Amino acid sequence: MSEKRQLQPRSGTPVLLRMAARSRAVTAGLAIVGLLALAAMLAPWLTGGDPSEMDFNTIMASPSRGHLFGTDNFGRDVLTRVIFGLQVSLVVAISSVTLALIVGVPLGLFAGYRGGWGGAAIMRMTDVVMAFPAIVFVVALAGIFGASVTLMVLSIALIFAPIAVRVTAVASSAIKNELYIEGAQARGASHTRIMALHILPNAFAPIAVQASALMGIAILFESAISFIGLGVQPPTPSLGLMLAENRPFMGNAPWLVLGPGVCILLAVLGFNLIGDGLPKLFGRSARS
Amino acid sequence: MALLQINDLTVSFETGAGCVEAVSAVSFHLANGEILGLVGESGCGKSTVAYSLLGLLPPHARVGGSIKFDAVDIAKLDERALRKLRGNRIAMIFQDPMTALDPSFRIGSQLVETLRLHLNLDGVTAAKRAVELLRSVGISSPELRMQAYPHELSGGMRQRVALAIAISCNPDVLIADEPTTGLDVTIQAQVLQLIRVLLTKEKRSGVLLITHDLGVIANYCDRVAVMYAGKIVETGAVSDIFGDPKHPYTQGLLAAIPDGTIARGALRTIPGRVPALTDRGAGCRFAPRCPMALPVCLQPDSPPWVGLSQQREVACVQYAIT
Amino acid sequence: MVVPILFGVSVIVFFLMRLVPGDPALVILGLRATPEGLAAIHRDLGLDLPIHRQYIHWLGNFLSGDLGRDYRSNEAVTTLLAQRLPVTIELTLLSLLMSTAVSIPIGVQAARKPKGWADRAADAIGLVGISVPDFWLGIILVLVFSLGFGIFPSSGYTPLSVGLAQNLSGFVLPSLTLAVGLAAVLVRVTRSAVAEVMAMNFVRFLRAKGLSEPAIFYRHVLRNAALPIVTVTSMQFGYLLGGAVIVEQVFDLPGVGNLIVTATLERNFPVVQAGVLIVAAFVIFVNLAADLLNLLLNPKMSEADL
Repeated sequence: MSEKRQLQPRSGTPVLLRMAARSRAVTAGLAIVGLLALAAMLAPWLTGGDPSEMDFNTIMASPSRGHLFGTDNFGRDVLTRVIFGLQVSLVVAISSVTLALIVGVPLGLFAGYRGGWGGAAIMRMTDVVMAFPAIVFVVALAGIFGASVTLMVLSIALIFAPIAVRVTAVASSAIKNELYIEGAQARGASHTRIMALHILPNAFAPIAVQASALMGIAILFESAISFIGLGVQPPTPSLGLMLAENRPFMGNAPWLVLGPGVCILLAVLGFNLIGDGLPKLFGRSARS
Repeated sequence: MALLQINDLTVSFETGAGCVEAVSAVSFHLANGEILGLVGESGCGKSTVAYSLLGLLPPHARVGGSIKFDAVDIAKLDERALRKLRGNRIAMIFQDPMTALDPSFRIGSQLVETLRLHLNLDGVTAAKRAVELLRSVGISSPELRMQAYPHELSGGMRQRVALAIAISCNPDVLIADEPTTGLDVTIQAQVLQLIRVLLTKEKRSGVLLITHDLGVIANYCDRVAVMYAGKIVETGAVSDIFGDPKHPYTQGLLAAIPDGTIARGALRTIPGRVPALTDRGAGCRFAPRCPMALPVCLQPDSPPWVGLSQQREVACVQYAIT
Repeated sequence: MVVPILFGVSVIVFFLMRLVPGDPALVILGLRATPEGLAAIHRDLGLDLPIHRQYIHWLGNFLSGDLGRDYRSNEAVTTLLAQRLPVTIELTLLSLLMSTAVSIPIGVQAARKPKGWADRAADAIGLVGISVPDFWLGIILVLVFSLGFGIFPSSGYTPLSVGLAQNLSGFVLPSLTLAVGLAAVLVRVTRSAVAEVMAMNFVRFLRAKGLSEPAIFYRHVLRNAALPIVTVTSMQFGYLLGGAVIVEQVFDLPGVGNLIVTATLERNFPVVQAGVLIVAAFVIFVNLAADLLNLLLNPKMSEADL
C-alpha cells in the first residue's frame, strides 16, 4: 500500500525525475526508447529524406563523417536506411502489441474475474495457440496469406493476445478476492463496472510489464521474419531485410551488418530495461 | 551449576548505515530441568538471543559477551565445533511449523538424516529410532508417517515431527522460538505439554521458550525473563513475576492481558511505541513510556540492575533508591 | 490436457490450410489443367467431400503416418520430415546443453553470493541475452569465427555418418546462436529459484540440525530449486524450436524449420501443414515429459494434476 501511495503524483517534483531516482533500469530504458523513437519520428528531417537514394560513387564506403554507418552495395546511406527501418519496426511493434492488448485484456478480465465455463474456454484456447512456436505460426500465416506488413502485425498480435489474456486473467483472479471487490459487490455494483473500475486499474502493473516485454519481442519478430523474406518486402526499408541483403558483403564491409543489428539490439534492450525496472516502480503487485 | 550461562551478550548488525545493536548486555542462565520463558514484544531481540546461542546469526552480526555451555564459550566456537553442538547437544525448533520441514523429502529421511549425522547410526537402527521418536511425540502409526511428505501432515503434526527431530539426539538444551504460532489453541497446548514432559521431566534438559504470549509463560514456564528493546528488564520465578511484577514495563504487560484475571474492566495498553533500533537514547530504554520515570532514569548509567532476592532481579531505579 | 490441446492444434492447422487462396489442384497441374484433370485430383485429395469429412480423412491419414505429398517433388512428406527432423533435434539439444551448462552454474552462484561476480554476470546475460536478435548474433558469429578466424564453417550440414567431428563443428555456431536466448531466461530463473529456496524456513531448521552448508545446499536447496528450473526449461522448448527456424535459415541447415520456410516461400502447403503440426506436437510432448519429470521431483503433485 505504501508503495502504491508513493506513485501518486506529488506536487513539486516532476514524475519523470522521481521515476529516475527510483529505477535506473527504467530511466535507461526510457532514454534509449525515447531517443530511438524520436529519431524514427524525425526520420525525414534527420536524414537525406530518401532511404532508397543510390549513389554509385560511394559504393560500400566505410563509415565516415558523411555516412556514419557507411554505405551499402548500391551506395545507399546505411544510417538513413536504419532510421527508416526503425520506423517500420516501431510501427509494427506498437500496432501489434496494442491490438493484442485490445483483444486480450477484456478476455483476460472476463476469464479471471467471472471464470465459469466461458473463462475456462478462453483459457483452453490460449493453451492451444500458445502450443505453436510463435515464429513457426507467423511463418505459416505469411505463407498462406502472402507476406505483408499488415499480415505481420495481425499474426504477431494473434500470438501475443493469449499472453495478454493470461497475464490479465492471473492478475484479476488474484484481485477479485480482495475485500474491496467484495465491498463493491455488496454495494450492488455491476460486474462490468467492477471490472472496469476496480479490477483493471489494479491489474495495470503486470499488464504494463508484460506489454513492455512484448514490444521487445515484437521488434525481434519483425526483424527475424523480414530477414527470412516473409515480412516487410523491398523496397520498404526494414532492419531485418537489410541484414539479409547486406550479409553477402559483410566480409568486406562489416559495417553493413553492424549498424542495423546494433539498432535492433538497442531498441529491444530499451524495452526490456523498462519491463525489468517497472516492477520496482509499481511495488510487489507487478511481479507475477 | 547452570547448564547455560549467558553473560553480557551483545549482538550488533553491521548495516550500510553503520552498526545497530539488537541485543545489549543480556545476562541470564538456564538450569537443568527447567523451562525459562523469554518474553517480549516482537523486535525486542529475543529471537536474536536464540540464534546467537546456536551461532546461527547472519555473517554481518557481531557478538560480544559470553555464552558458557559445558565449560566452553559458544560465542567463540568456530563453525565446525558449532555444527557438532547444533541438533545434538543444543537443539532448536522455530515458529511457523508449516514450513519447517523440507517439502521434497519424506519425514523419515529428515529424521534419519539428523540421527546419522550426530549419532553415527547405521540406516536400519536410525530408522527404528526414528519410528520410536515419532511415537514419543504422539504421532499415531509412525511407521506409516515415516513415508509421508510434509505437505501430507497438518501444522500441529509437522511441529511434532520438528520436535522429534530436535530431541532425536537427547539435547541438553532445547530452544523453542515461538513454537506454537499459527497453531490452534488446543494443538498449542499439546505441543507445549509435550515439550515439558519429554524434555524437562524425562530427560532433565533445559528449555528456553521464546514467546510473546504471557499465557504460555504462565502455564508452562518455571522462570521468566522479560525483554524490552534489546535488554532484559526483569527476571524471576513465574509465580513471583505474575503475582508481584516490579518493573513498570512488566506491570504494563500484565495489565494489558485481556482475560480479566489481572486487569478488570477496560483493556489497558502501554502508551507510546517501542523505540527503533537506531533510536535508543542513553539510560533506561523504557523511560520515555514509563509512568514513573524520573530525571535520573535518563542518566547514561541508568537503570541499575537490582537483586531483590536470589531468584529475583529487576532493572529499575525505583528499587535502588531504598 | 495433452489430447485436447493437440486436437485444437490440428483443427487450427487444418482450417488455416483451407484458407489458402487458390486451388491446390491448379498448383499441381499448373498449365496442364483441364476441368477433368482438376476434378480427378479433387477426388484423389478428397477435396470434393464436406469440410468436416475432409478433416477426419486428413486426421486419419495423419495419425496413420500419411502426411500427404510434396506438391512439387511428389515425395512423401513423412520421408522429408524423417530426413529433416534429426538436424533440428541435434541443433536444439546441443543448444539446450550449451545454455544449461553455462546458465545453471552462474545462476546458482549468483543466488549464493548476491552482488558477486556471478550475480553481475547473470544480470548481463539475462538482459542482453533476451535482447539480442538471434539471426544477427548468428551473422556476427560467422563474421568473427568463420570469416575472421576461420575456425568453424559458416554454413551447411555434415551428416553424422561422415564423422562426429565434422558434424559437431558445423553445429557449434548455430547451437551457440540459439543457446544465448535460452541461457538468458534460464540464468534468471535459476537465480531466483535458488534464492527463493535459500530463504525458506526449512533451511534455517536444517542449519539448526547441525548440517554443513554444502550438505544443505547440494542435498536440500538444489533439490527444491530443480522444480521451477525444469518447468521453465521445458516451457522454453517451443521458443527454442521457433528460434531454430531462424537459425537454420542463417546457417543453411537442412532442418524442419528450413523445410517449413522453403515450403512456405514455394507455397508447398502439405509440407507446411505437416511441418507446423509436427513442431507443435513436439512442443506439447516435451511439456508432457517435463510434467512427468515434475511428478518425480515434486511430492506435492499427483497424477491427477496432469
